[in-house]
Amino acid sequence: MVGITAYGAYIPKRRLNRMAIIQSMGWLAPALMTAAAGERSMCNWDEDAMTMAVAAARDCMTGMDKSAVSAAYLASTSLPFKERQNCGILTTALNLPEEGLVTADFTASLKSGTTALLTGIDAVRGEGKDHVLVTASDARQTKCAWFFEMWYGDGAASLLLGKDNVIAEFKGAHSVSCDFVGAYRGANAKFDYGWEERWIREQGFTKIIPAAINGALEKCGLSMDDISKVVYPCHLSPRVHQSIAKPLKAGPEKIQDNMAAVLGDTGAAHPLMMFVAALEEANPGDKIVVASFGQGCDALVFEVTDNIKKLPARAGVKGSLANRKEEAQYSKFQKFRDLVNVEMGIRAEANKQTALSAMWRYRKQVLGLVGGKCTKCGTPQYPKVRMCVNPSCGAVDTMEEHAFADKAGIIKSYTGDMLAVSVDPPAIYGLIQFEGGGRALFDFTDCELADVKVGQPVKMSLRMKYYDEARDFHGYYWKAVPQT
Amino acid sequence: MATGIRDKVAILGMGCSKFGERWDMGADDLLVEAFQECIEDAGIDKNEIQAAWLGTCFPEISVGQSALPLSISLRLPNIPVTRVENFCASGTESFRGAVYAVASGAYDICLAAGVEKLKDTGYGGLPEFGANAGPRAWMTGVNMTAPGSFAQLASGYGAKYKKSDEEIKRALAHVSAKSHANGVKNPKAHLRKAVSEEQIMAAPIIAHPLGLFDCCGVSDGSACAIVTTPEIAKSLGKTDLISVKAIQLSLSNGYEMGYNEWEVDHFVTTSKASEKAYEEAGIKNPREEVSMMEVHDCFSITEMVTMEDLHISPRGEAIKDIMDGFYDADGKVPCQIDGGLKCFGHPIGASGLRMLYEMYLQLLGRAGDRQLKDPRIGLTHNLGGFPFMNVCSVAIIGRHG
Amino acid sequence: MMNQYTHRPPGHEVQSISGHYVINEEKRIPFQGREVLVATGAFAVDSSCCGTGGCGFALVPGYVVRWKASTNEEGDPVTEIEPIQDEQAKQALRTLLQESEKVQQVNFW
Repeated sequence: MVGITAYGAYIPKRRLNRMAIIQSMGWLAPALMTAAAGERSMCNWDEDAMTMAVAAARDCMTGMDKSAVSAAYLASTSLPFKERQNCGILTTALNLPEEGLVTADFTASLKSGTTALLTGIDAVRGEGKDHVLVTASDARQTKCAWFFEMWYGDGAASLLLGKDNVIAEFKGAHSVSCDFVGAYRGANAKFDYGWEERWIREQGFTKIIPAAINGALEKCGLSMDDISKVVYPCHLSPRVHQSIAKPLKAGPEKIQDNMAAVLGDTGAAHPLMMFVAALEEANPGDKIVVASFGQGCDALVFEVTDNIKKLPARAGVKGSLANRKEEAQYSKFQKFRDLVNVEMGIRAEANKQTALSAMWRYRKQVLGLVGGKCTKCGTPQYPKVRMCVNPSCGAVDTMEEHAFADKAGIIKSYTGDMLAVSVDPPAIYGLIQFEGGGRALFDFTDCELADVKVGQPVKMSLRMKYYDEARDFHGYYWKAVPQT
Repeated sequence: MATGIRDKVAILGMGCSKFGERWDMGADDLLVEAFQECIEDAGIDKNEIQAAWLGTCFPEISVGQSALPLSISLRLPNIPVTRVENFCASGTESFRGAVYAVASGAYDICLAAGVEKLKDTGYGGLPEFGANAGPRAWMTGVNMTAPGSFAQLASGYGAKYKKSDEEIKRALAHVSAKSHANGVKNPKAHLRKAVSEEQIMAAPIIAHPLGLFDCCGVSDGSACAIVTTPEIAKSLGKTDLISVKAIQLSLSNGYEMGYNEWEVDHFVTTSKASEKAYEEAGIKNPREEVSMMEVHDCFSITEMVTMEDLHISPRGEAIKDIMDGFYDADGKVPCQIDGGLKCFGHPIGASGLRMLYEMYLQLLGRAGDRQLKDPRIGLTHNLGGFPFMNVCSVAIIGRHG
Repeated sequence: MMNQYTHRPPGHEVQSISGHYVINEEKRIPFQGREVLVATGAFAVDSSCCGTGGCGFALVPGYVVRWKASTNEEGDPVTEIEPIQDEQAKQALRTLLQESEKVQQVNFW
C-alpha cells in the first residue's frame, strides 16, 4: 500500500485582523472592505517560507524515523534562493542523512505542492524510496492596500509518504496542465501581477478544477457519491470557493473549508494545508480528493485507513490555528515584510557577508543545531568542538554528533534588551539549558517579555537570523520559543 | 618556584587625562595629555624609558593596528613598543607587560599606556563587532548587547539566592547612587552629578532589569604609568613608594557557556583571579585587609556580584553589604571612590590604568576632596566580555614593603 | 518597601552617563477601586557603552496612600505610596497604560 504515513502543519502565531488593514488604508482603498472579514496569518519578522517549511516538516516527523527519509521535496513560490537548492536548507535543518538523499524544489506555480506530492508518490511506488517527505510553504509578498494582501496568508504543510503504516492510501490521480495565468510574478519582481478576478473565476477555477477532479474520479472508478471531502483552494470569496464545486455535484457538506476567515490562502501550501485539516477530521474509510490550482490542476484521490487513529499527537492545522496571537497593528505587518522604509540607524549598517566556506564547515551546527556528546564522559555540549568542555574530562576528538533541536529546554537566564537593533524591540534572549545536558545562548521569539520566566520550558525553532541586503543572502539559525 | 610579582616593581609616576566626550582630541592627543602628567610625576626624562606597552580595545576605529600610535604620539626614542588588547582588561594588560618587563630585569624603566577614542563612530555606544568576531558571528551570535548580557546575572542571581526583583533593583540603585556621589568630587570624571536612589529607581529600563543608571557610558580618555624597580625609584629620590602586590588574569574556557553547572549568578573568572591575586599579595582576609577598590562597574549588577567574587562579601550577601553602606565612601571598603566606570567614564584601553591611578593617588594622599583615611592596599578589577565568557584582571597595589 | 514618591517640576531632566530621562506628567488614575499614581515621560539612551535607544515610558510607583503629604529638603512635595505587588493587577495596568498613554514601557516599583 502506498500513501500518506504522517502529516504536519505550521501557521505563524500572529494573525492580522483584516479590519486593521482597512483602518490604516481604507481611506485610499475603500473597496477592500468587501474582503475585510476575518483574519489572516502573518509571519513574524524572523519567519519566511523557509522557516515555516522546516516547522511543518518537523511537525510531520513527530514520532517518525528521520534517518529513513530517502527523498525530500519542497514546494513554494516564495523561497529565499533562486540558485542554492532551498530544500537543502530544509533537510540540513531536519538533520537528515546527506548520503543517499534526493532533494528537489518545486516552484513557480501554486500547484507545485500537489505536483511534489504526485512526484513523491511516484517515487515511493518506484524502487528504493520508502519514505518521501513532501513539504509546501508560502509567504507571498504583496503590495500594501490590495486584495492580495487581504486574501493571502502565510503557512506550510508537510506530508510523509511511504508504504508502511499508511494513514491515507493513494488511489489515483489526474492532472491538467495548461498555461492559464491568473496572476504571475516575474523573475525579478517582488509582487504578484493579477488579471481580472471574474475571468479567473469563470475561465479558470470553475473549469480547470472540476475537469481534473472528474478525471481522477473516473480513473479510480469512483463517483462523487463515494467521496467524503473535496479539497481544493480558491483565494476569492467564500461564495466563489463554494461555487466551483457546482459542476462536480458536490454538496456544501463535502467541500473542505478553505480557512479564508482564519488563515488566508497559503499559496502552494494551501491544497496540502486543507488536506491536513481534512485528515484531522477524517474517519477510516473516508475518501478524499485533493486538488490544486495554478497553470492547471493536479487532483489526487486518497482513502483513509485505520492507522490514522495511531498517528502520534502533533500540532497539525488545528493546533497551529489554536496557537494564536492577534496583531492589531497593520504597521507591524508592513515592517515585518519590509514594505516600509524605516531608519534602523548606522549600527545596522554592519557588513553581514557570509563566509560560504565556513557555512559549509558549520552547516550541521548552524542549520541543524547539532552539537556534540563526549564518548568518554558522556557530556552533551554545544557547539561540537575537538576538546570536551567538562573540566574533569577535557578529552580530545571523542565527540559524537548530538542533535539538540528536538530536545526540551528551560530558560536559565534572560533579558529584554532595548538597545539591541531589532525589528520588534525589545530583543529578548537568554541562556537555554537542554534536558540531559548542553546549553547555549539563544534569541527568543514569539514571546512577550512579561511572560518570560527563569525555569520556563522552551521549544527550538529555526528562524531567519540575518539578512545580508547587499548580497541578498538569508541566514537561518535556531531560536527559543518560550512555552506558556 | 615562581615567587609572584609582590614588591618587585614600584610605580614611579602616573597620569590620566580628563575622561569624557573629547570631541576636541584624537587618541594621540589624549595619550600626550596623560603622559605629560605621568612623566612629570615620575621626574625622569623621556629618553630613560626603555620599553613601552599600549592598550586599546577598538584600534580599528581610532589608532589602527600596531603600537606605532604610541611610539609616534609620544615621540619615543625608537624603543620596543607593543600593543595589547584583551577586551576591557586591555589597560591592565598594558600595565602587566611593563611591570613584568621590569621584574624580569630586562629593563629598568618601562611605560604602560592605555587609550580609547570612541566618539568617532557616528552613533552612541561601542562599535559594532559584526563580522570582526569571526565567520560565525552573524550565523549563530545572539542579537545581544552588553547590558542585555549582564542583565541576565540579575535573573540568575535572583533565582539562586531567592532574591526578588525589587530587592535587587534597590541594591543596584544604591550601588549607582554611591558612585554618582563619589564622582561629583572628581574633577576628571566624565559625569559629575549626584542622583538619588529614588531617581535611579524611577529611571526607565534599558535591558530588564537594568535601568538607565545601571549602565556605563562611552568616553574618550587615556591613562598611563611609568614603572621601575623599588631600588631605582629610591635612587631617584622617591620616598613613599607604591609597589605592585599582585597582577592576575583569568579567562573563561567555555565552561560557563558550555558545561551544565554555572548558574548565571557570578563570574567564575573573577573568583579565580582574585584568589590568585590575594595569594600573590599575601592577603589572608581580603574583607579586612583591602582598604579600597576600583571594580569594573560596567553595570550595577556586575559590581554587585563582583563583591562576592572578590571574596569581600560572602556568597548571597552582597545585597546586605551594599545596603549597609559597606562599600560607600565612609564604609569599611570604599568602592568606586573616583566615580567608577559609571561616572569617571570608560575609555576601554585606559580603564584599568585609570583605576590604578586612583588607587595610586589615594595611597599617596593626593586624592583631594575624596581622599580616604590612611589606605594601605588598593585593588582594581576589570571584566571584559560577557558573564558567559570573559576576561578578568585583578591588580593590587600598596605601600611598599 | 519604598513608599515615597517625590514630585519634581514637570520636564525635569535626570542625566546619567548613558542618557537621560524626563518625567513630563503625573496622573492619578482610578484603578480597581483605588487610585494609582502614574508618571509618564520619555528617555533617550544616546551614550551608553552599548547602543542607542529610548522610548516613552510610564512609571507606576503604586497606589496613592497620602497625596503630597510632606515635602523634602528642597521643598519638593512627597506622596506616600503603596507599591503594587499583585502580578495580575500589574499586567492589567500595563495593558491599560500602553494603550492610554501610548508608551512602550510600563515600569513598577
